[in-house]
Amino acid sequence: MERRSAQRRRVLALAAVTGFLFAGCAAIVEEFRAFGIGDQFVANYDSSRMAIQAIEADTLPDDDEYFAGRLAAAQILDTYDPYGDPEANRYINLLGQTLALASDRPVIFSGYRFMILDSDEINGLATPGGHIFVTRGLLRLAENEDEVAAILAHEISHVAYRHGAEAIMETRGRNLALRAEALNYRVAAVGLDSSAIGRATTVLEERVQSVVNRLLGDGYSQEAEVEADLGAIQILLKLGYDPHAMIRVLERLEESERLAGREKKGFHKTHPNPGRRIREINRRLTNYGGLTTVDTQIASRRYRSSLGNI
Amino acid sequence: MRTVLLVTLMLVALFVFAVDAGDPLFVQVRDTELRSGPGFLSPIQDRLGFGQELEYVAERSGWMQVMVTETGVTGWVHAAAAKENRATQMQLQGEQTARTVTSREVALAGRGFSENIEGEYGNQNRVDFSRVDELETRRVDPEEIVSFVTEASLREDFLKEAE
Repeated sequence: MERRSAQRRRVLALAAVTGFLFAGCAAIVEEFRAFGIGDQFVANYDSSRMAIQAIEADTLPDDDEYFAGRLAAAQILDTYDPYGDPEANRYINLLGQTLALASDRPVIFSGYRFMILDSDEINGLATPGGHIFVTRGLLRLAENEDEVAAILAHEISHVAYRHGAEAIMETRGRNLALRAEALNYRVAAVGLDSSAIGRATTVLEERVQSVVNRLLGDGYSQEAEVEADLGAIQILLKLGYDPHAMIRVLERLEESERLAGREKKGFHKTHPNPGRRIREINRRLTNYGGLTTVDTQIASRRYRSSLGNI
Repeated sequence: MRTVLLVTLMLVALFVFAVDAGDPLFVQVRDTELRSGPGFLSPIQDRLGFGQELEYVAERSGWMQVMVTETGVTGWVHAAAAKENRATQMQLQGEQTARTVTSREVALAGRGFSENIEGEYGNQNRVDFSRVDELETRRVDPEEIVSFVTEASLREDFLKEAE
């Protein structure tokens, strides 16, 4: 008796899960229709699994992230000038690319690249393509290699957790229309339909704007910032750096915010409420045993010779 | 309740672990290295480019053992560097009949497409890519990373081969 009811439960569960999957697909097709686009997908509903799967995966393909990131990077470098010091930039890339290898997403379409921006403003920016920018003002919040590592690891985590791609996808609701359009263009490209390029440019433009607005405007959500902090801590621990470096940087950020008064610009605007972030990190580090391996003498020597005059 | 969980897990597993030995894969990053072992420091056997065809052999904690279809050479790539190459029936814009396209084909077309679109967008908005291009040349050799890590006694586990 018991076995039979267990069997029935299993069948019911299977039916429920399968039903749920099909309902999901049908809902997407309905949404396609609601937006009045993607007709070829609707017409070939059964044969459009690949497109539907890509949309359901809720992420952009790596090369889409990269191209949107490149354009966002070009806009950032239109706003800010690079800081020319080759030794400082070399150090940032060596440290940054080491941290990226220890992250949850060490491999991205075109790799992680780091650049110092010649600005006193406190700001850090990461495009979905892995272009990471830190201002001289932000680097001045750090006093040693562990703390520079914390800053870079935070930005790397924004890329690793695809926060830029999320910004793209949130632009128009869940942005199904935009993603369906983009897929349409890809499919059109297989058929070498060149007339689609003009409209595809509009799609790209919207994508870039949503990334740039997020990076230079409102900033990521508080949840994304906390997630990037915790990702950074994981990277610091993996390498044997002091994870409390992240807290020290945030404390100095809070202090500089206090000194700056009410006017919120740059990093203060895009990275609000350091106090809450510090509490989240402390909660995560409750059981941390304090096992750093970093040779502070050597680390501080190379930090001073590269970023001593930042 | 446990049964429901089990069935769900099995279904999820079906979707997630769908790659079998011999299944086609394609490189989905700009370029990557084929290494003799599952780690970032294992000797490089070959350099692979976007869209290159591979065959899946095995997987070990985030790394995939693959055979390069063109050369028959077997080695390891990071799992994020290659993706399953599925074939799907699709009706194409401007064509009356549906034909089979692979995800590799779509990705390849998308890439050329993205470059075209970038050019188009760049012209319309007078975007200057020279600084971005300079930034993208900033590569660091794995050897430099090793000496950076060991010199300051940082942990090296993440550089070791997966077990």
